[in-house]
Amino acid sequence: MNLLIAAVGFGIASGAVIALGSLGFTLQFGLSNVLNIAYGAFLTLAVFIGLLLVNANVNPWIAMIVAALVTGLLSVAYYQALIRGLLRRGASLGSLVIATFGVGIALEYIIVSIFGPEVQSYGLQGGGTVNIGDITLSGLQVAVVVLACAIMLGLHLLLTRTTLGRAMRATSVNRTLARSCGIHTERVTQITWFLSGVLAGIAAVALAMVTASFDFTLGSTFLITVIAAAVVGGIGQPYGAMLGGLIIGLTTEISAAFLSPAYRDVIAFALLVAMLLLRPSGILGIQSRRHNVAG
Amino acid sequence: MGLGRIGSGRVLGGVAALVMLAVAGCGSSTTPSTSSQSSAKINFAVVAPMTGSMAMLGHFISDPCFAAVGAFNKAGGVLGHKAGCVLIDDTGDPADAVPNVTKGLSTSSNLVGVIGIDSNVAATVVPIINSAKLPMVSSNGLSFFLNHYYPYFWRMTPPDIAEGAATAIWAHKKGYTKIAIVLQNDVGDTGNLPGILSAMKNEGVKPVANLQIPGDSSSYDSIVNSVRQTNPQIILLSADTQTMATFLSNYKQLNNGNVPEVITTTQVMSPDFFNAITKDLGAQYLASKVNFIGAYLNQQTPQYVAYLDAMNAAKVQNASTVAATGPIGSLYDGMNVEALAMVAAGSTKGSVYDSYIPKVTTARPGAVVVHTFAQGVKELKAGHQIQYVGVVGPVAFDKYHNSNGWYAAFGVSASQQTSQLGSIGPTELSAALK
Amino acid sequence: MSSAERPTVHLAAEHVVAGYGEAPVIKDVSLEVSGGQVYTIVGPNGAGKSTLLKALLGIVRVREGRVVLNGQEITNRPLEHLAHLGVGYVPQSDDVFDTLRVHENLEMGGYILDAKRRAERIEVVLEIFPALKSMLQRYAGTLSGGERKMVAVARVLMPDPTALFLDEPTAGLSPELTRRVLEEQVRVLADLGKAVLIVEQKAEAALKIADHAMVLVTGTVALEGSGQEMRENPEVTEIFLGGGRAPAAPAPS
Repeated sequence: MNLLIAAVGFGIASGAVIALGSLGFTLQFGLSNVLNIAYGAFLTLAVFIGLLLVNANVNPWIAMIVAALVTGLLSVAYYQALIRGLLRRGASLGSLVIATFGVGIALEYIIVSIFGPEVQSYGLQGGGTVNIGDITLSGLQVAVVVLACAIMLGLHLLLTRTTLGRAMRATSVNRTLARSCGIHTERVTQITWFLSGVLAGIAAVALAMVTASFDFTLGSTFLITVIAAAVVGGIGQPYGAMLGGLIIGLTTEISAAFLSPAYRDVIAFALLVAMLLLRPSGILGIQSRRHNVAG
Repeated sequence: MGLGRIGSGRVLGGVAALVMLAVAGCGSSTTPSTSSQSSAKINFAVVAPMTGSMAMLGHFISDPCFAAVGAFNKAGGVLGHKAGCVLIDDTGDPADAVPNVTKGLSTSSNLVGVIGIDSNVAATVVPIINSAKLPMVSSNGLSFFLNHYYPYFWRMTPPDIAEGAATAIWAHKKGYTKIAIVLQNDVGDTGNLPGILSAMKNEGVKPVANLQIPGDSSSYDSIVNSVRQTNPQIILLSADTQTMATFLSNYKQLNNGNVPEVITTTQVMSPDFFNAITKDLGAQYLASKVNFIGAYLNQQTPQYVAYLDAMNAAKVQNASTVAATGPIGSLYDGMNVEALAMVAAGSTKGSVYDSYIPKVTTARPGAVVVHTFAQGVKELKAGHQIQYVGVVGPVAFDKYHNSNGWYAAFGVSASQQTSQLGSIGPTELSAALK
Repeated sequence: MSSAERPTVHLAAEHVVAGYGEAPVIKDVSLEVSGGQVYTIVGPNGAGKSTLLKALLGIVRVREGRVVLNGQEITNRPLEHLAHLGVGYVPQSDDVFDTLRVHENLEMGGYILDAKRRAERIEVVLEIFPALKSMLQRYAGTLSGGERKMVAVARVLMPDPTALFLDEPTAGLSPELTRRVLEEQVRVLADLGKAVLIVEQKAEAALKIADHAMVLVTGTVALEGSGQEMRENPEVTEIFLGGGRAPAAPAPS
């Protein structure tokens, strides 16, 4: 069996989940210029909402949908209660990071006080092993890849074919101009935070499904990969997040197969740093003449 | 023994996670720390991570201290002094451990001895405690202490290298020759590797795979894929619970549900691990395919009964499971050894009683074998020499103050009852480590 | 609604005081502009021209005075409401959605319209700017300065606004392009019946198309009058030279 092709298969499988997680993160940044560190805690929250449901014998895919919707609503509430006010008061990027970091810690504390620090699992059976040529994946991974592709396609259509999606992109790149066009940018921003929460929820539950075992650190650990993917692709750029997710997934799995597996996660960070040094705007950070933090 | 390894892979998880775990650790503590509050007494310091991702470990390590001082006080104290425990948080991170331990040693009153000191911080913390002339009983697994002498350092358990050798010997005893090695890349787990390789070389077997993996990754697919292509009969797997559970789940999913047998260490032998494996791989797999190697503890002895009583009296949560863990038992023995050395020396001063530690443990003609503190005190008062034989068996320190005891292999039933499957003695170990 | 049935637009600012921090940038400025007119605001760099425009639009807070559009007070009204009242705005920079394609820029310009009307208006706007037809699929961020400005103006025309606020539409353009933008686009807008309020650094060229104009210096009205008067007033040139900036184009003799 060809190890490289096998690793590419695994890379696509993990890249699909990273891309979903990264999409939610990058949408928040794109619309609100917030590096929302609490995103990691929202990922964890979604996983544990999913766990509650799975433990109550709810079908895991339904649990995923419910967890995603609840996380979406909490994400909007979080934006309304905290982020919006801070942005209005003109909080700096740095103080926003600190604030979201604080919320993340508090949220994780609440999660762990409710669910405990033990290792948890949805206890799903992998759905058998699927062989496609030299690629071997579990049935669950195949399902997750298909789901992720469908969601990304859906998001692509939303962003490019619908007025709402275009308004989201318009608000992201130039909020004042968007307002002058009559776009209710606040509402668009709320919808985006809902959507990013939903994406976080789906990504997190999918991750917990394929990872099998997790504890309350799942979100904060995964957040680093998510940020790396977002930055590699170009932060604030949805397609950058998709591409970044795939790149991080592929490089980590291929390097795990061919270099020492111990360096698996190092590669993600190395890419992150290299990208910041060589092309701070990320791979797809080219279309914007001005970075949207300005103005 | 690598006590310091739990959760160290999570450092990548960010400070938030660390803070959380710290809080979690504190929240779930049932340790009766109030016993350290009264005055006019002597104190034993527990140096262990009390906050951070390894906070759980700190609470496990402090359990034998509270159990032992309870037994001391019940027997009238040590030389008439009531005894207590103070907790010094080494956080599991050497950078924080040094200032914390320095401060802890200088601000705690009437410190007479130290227990704990996990692998992650031992190399930096042991010299500090040594220069404070406080005898310390440790269960860290660093090979460093095999040939570095600190007069006040006493190690009650064999080092990681011996644990590694024991896992390989156990695989050999089970008749397997296609052996894969998968270790988490932290100091505690990789410390087992030289011992594993040495023992396998001794047996004339080469590992079919030898990989180190990062902890708490979201997927080990590529690693699992390269391991499964070597068709191992058994995997010597050492990692934290989540890493092992994820690795084995990935293996199951990519290998049509077939996962080879696993030998790991008692480090992960806890209900948390049992539940995780049961959920992902089934109770049958756990019961029939997973063995744990750890310090030998004979649960049938009277000293074990006394030890378990003391743990229960100290209100240790899950006392019977915690007590059955080798390093915890050895730390309890270490407490007894320190206290008996004080009684034998007639002093609680470290610089005085330190040299009495081998005098209460070494087997020699005329020495009365004792199994508890109370027995030892009685014999010493009667003018006899004593040899303490505790829950981990006889203690025999070499010139670097290492005591190489026995190892045992454990299994667990589908109903999560642990049982001992066999043992590996010092002779086998030293042959394997030549 | 065709422009013939529409009541004549009328915009007035009355004693407006506005600014960002402690000291107001705009101090007691009044102006009036009606449909069919170009009102030009010129002044040296830092005079507060852009701030004045933003204050009238509610982007910068108005502290005193009021802004009235067609008899309705719009002082400090949220910007997104103004589009519905027929106000269009082209900022000085960031005047297009860089990461949106040209046709998407136009669609966002027509955000407040329904889909059918939006499609109709795109046709109308493309008739005004036929050159855009060939670049509809391009991202606005990749266009040249002149093309960008064309997209910006086409975008603002999408909802058929009645009052236009243009902030230095010729910034960064060559003298020839400047002339063409002002004369072939801005003037034409007024001739279509719209009220056009334009801020310009290039005084000479901008005054040429003005029906009415003011010179703003440090937030106050230094001079005011018809476009003709202002062009002929030697003080105007003096202010610009005194303010340290030469007129953008040499004065025609």
